[in-house]
Amino acid sequence: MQDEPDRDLLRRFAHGDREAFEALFRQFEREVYRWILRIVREPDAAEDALVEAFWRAYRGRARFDPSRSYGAWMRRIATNCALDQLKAARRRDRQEVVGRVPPREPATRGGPGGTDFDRADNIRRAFAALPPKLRVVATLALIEELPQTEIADALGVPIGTVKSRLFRATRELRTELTRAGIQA
Amino acid sequence: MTDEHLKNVLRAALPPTDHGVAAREVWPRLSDRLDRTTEWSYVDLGLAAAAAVPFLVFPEWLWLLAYHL
Repeated sequence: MQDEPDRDLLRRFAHGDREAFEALFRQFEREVYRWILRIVREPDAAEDALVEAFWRAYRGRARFDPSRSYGAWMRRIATNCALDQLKAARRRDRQEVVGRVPPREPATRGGPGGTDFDRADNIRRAFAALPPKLRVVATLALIEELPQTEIADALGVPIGTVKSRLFRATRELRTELTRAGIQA
Repeated sequence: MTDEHLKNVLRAALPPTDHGVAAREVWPRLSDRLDRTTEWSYVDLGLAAAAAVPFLVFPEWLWLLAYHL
C-alpha cells in the first residue's frame, strides 16, 4: 500500500479542494489502476473504472474521515467500480448472445480439453461465465493469489463471505471445466 | 481437480496482470467530468420539487409538518 498522504491534504480534500484532490489522484492513480486492472483484466475497462472510482471518491468526499487510510478507502471504491464494470460487461455479453454460450466440445486431438488454444479458450469462457461477485473473489484469490483478509477489506465484506464466494466459484469452475473436458 | 491444480490451470489461461499503467492521461477526463457534475443532480432537484409542491398547494400542511418535527 502507498504511503498515506498528510492529514492536511486529506482535510483539504474532504472540504472539496480540487488541488488537493488532484494531488491525491496523482499519488494514487497508478496503484488504483493496477488494482482495477487485476480485477477487470481489460485496460480500456480499467481506465473507465479508474475515472469512475475517483469521481465517486470526490462526490463522496464528505463521508471520508481524514483520520482513516485514504488508500484503503480508495481501494474499496475502486473494487466496487471494477465490480460494476464486470456486471456491465456481463449484461452486454448477454444482449449479444442470447442464452449461455456452450463450451466448445473437447477436440479429439491435443489431449484432454482439446488443443492448447481450445483448452485456454474454454477456461477463459468458464471464468467469464462466473457471476461478477464470484469472479472478483476468484480472480483475486486464485489468479492474483492475494490473502483472503485483503480481499475482504477491499470488498467491504466479512472474511466468511469471501470464503463462501470462493467455494462457490471453485465449485462452478470445476463443473464447467469438467463439462469442457478439462480434468486434473 | 485439486485446488492447486485448478489454480495452475487458471493461471496458465489467465496469467496475472503485468501491473501496467493507464495508456492515456486520465486526469483531463476526470476533471471534465467533475466540471460537468452539478452539486444537485436532476434526480435531487426532482425529489426536492416533489417534496415542495404539496406545501405550496396546501400551505397549512406546514403546521402539520412542524408539529411532527
